Formats: sequence, C-alpha cells, structure tokens
Amino acid sequence: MNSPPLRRIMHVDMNSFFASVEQQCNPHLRGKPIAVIGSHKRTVVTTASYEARAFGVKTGMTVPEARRCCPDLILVVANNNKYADTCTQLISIYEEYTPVVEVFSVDEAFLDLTGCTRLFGGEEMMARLLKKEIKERLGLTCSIGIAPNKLLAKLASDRKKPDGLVIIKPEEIPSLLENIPVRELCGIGPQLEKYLAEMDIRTCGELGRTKPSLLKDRFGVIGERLHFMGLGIDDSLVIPLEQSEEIKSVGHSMTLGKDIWDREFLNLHLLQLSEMVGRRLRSYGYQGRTVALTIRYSDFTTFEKQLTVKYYISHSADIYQAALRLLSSIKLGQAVRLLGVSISHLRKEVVQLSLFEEEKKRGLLTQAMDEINGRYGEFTITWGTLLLRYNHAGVISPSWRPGRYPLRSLKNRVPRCSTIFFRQFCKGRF
Amino acid sequence: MVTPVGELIQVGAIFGSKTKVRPVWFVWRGREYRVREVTYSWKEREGKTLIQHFSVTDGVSLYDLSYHTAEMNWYLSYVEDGS
Repeated sequence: MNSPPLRRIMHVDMNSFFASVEQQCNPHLRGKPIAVIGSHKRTVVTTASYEARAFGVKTGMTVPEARRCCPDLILVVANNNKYADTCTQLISIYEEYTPVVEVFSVDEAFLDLTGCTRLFGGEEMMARLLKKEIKERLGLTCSIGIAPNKLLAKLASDRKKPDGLVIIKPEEIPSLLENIPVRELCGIGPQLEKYLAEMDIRTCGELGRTKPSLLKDRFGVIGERLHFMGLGIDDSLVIPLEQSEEIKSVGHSMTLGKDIWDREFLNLHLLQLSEMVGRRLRSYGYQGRTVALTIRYSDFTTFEKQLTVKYYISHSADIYQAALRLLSSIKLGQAVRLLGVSISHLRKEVVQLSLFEEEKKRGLLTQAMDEINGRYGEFTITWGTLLLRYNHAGVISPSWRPGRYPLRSLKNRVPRCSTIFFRQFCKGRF
Repeated sequence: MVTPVGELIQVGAIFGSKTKVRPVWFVWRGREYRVREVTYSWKEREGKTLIQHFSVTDGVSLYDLSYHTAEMNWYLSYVEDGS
C-alpha cells in the first residue's frame, strides 16, 4: 500500500498589508514612512509601512506616540472596503494554484499544496509564480513559508520579511527548531512564554524534549499540544472558507471620540453598537442568548460583563435592552474610552409565529428595515435617536473573512431616514 | 491634501475582456484630464449597488473615480494633491 503523500503547506503573509495597498494606490506615498489609522479622533496605528517601522512606529501606537518616533510620518485613514476587496482578489489568485485555501486573516492565508506542486514545476517555482502574480496584478509583496504543516509554514514566512520565501524540508525541522524561541510559534503569546520560562523552557527544542505529562500537569489539555508544537508537529487541516466552523459570536466595539462619563451619551453608543450587532446577526440568520458588554476606561483598564437572557434574541432593540441592563449595573470607576457589545450562545434562527400583535409588528418592522438597508446600504434607515450622531468608521477586524458580510464604510454616513419617518411613511402620512 | 468632491463626471473608458475596465480620460468642471496610470482598483457594495473604484493619476494629482454600476454613472469621489 502506498503511504499518503507528504503534506506541503504554504503560508502567505502580505507585507504591511494596509500600508502597502495605500502606497500602491498613491504613488506619492511610495518609499515614505506612512501609518494607516482609523478615522476617529483618538485612533491608533493599524499598520505602518516598512519605512515607518524603521523609525520604530508599531501597530497599536497612538498617533502622538507614532509621531514622536517619526515626525515626518504620513497618516492615511483606513479604507476597509479597499482592503476587503483586495483580500477577495488575493483569494481568487490563490485558488488558481490550489482549491484548498484557508483565509487565516485579512492579510494571511494557508494553501494546501499537496498534490499540486508538480503542475507548477515544484513548490519553490509555485511560490515564485504566486509572488510574481500578486506583484503584477496588485503591486503588493508578500512573504511565503512552505513546510509540512501550518505551524511550520507560518514560522517559515515570519522568518524573512518583507518579500521573503522560506522553505522548510522535513529533515531540517529538528535542527531548525532547536534554538528558536518558543514565542515564535503561532499560538504562544507573552503570557504562555512567561509560564514556560518558569519551567526553564525557552526554546522549541526544550519544549519538544519536555515530557507531555509535565506540560499537561501545568497547562491542562493544551499541554500535550505544546509538546508536539515543540517538535514541529501539527496535524491541523487547511480548512477552506466553505467548510469553516460556524460563527460563535458577533460583536462590535468602538473607541469614543473622548472619554465619557455621561450615561445618556453612552446609551446612545450602546444603541448604535446593538444595531450593528443585531443587523449582522440577522444577516447570518442567527439568534443568541448571551449579551456581553465590554468597557475600557481612560487608563486602558478593560473588562467585560455578560448577561444570559431567557429567550434567543436577534432584534437590535432586545440586544440593546440587555446591554443597557449590563451598563446600568456597573458603577463607573472612570470615564469610558471604549464600548463593545457582543452576542454569543448562538443558534440558527427559528421562525416562531408570535401570538401578540405588537411582537408581530416589531418583527415586520425589523424585517423591513433590514431589507431597505440590504438594498440601499447600511444605516439608510435607522433609529431616530441615532440620526445626528452616526459617524463611525471602524477598523477592519483581523478576523474578517470574505463573503460573510459586506463591509460598509460608515465614515460620514448620515442615515437617510429614521424609523420615525418610516412609521409615518407606512401610515401614509407622507 | 485629500479633497472630497462627489461630482458626476464624464469618463472615457475601455471595457476590455474579463470585465476589466480602464478609464482613459475624464472631464471634470469642463476640463479634460488624461489618465497616465491606474494605480489601483477595488469594488465595494452599497446595498445591492456595486461600485467600482479606480485610483488614477494624471501625473500631478491622484483622483478616485467611481463607477456606479446600477445607474451607470461615473463620479469623481475625491482629489488628492501631489506633494
């Protein structure tokens, strides 16, 4: 019997993605230090170009911090739709090479090359062709890693940036991993690194030699997996989008224009977030039971409080009521910098006919609003309360995936009519 | 500096194979601009309407031309001065 073919996995990481797209768009930005930021007043750097990184500008820095590192830094406001569409174009390029593509984040993907490499003259040639095609069609560069599994493919692509290509052969794995710090493995963050250091484990080689039972005693179920990670073993599959797991939660958050104590103003933001969450939840066809509220204070202390309601909900108003209850139960210790609302404990929406007239009307109203917003764009119609305050452009989430929900730039978007108008319209007053 | 415009414009474009579109010139406020380079293009949806954006330069400034497929109109979304 033939043994199964050796797996070959490619990891593609777009270099300084958002900044590179902006530099490609605008020739005047090429070769200059730029930072892509959100559109609200107190935004942070989401991506810095390599020219800006040379000055020490990093993702997550506030604008004043970034400017201190690089006084000539050029700030560019993020355009999420542009990045989302570029991601979609990249996926269609990847799919010309292999049908098994997993979108890991907006700027990273795994490609299962097993069985495909001969068609392109080998894996190195395949990687070079892919890089060339991305450069020609989009003007962007990427770093590519090829290895027997996802863990090592990602490690490989991280080892040479920008525009790198690193291939790990199976026989090279033990010597390669011997002295690599554990933090370079995807999934080992600063906290885990610290705990491992307390056990005198600092390199992948040391991690791989540690008995699984010891790691299990310290870290529980992930202990054994950590041991295998140290050995460079990872059996996880490359999962295409159509086979990816069902969503577990839906959420939105926003950094407020200034730190706020005023509860009325906070409630307004809660309503806006609840509408965004509800709209997305309904577009997926889900209902949820656990609503969570995230608050970040002005000193960046962040906490979450959650509430599980009796019934599955999907109406924005119900999500808002739950979020409001959570906020009311919190005695604010400081002014609020960031608010977030999310819903989890999801199930596919079950249509249940209501016995109550008011409930039926509410369902029809939500359905009508969703249809109008689906046809003419988000927040074409919304709550009257939000009419004068709607102005928020979020930063694209790293977990964004194409095809699930269209990104809508909400920048400077003023709702065209409110539900108050809508009700009057329905009653024939206009 | 980025200046939002949002005005209807006339565009001469080549509609090629595989739905590729390439703007060649545009007329804005009575003046014709020749497109020297299409630096980037991307699509977005506003509701059901598909909007195709083209970042183009005439060698001096950068322009965002957007083609609204439902109404088949071209708009100049913004102008960015070269510096």
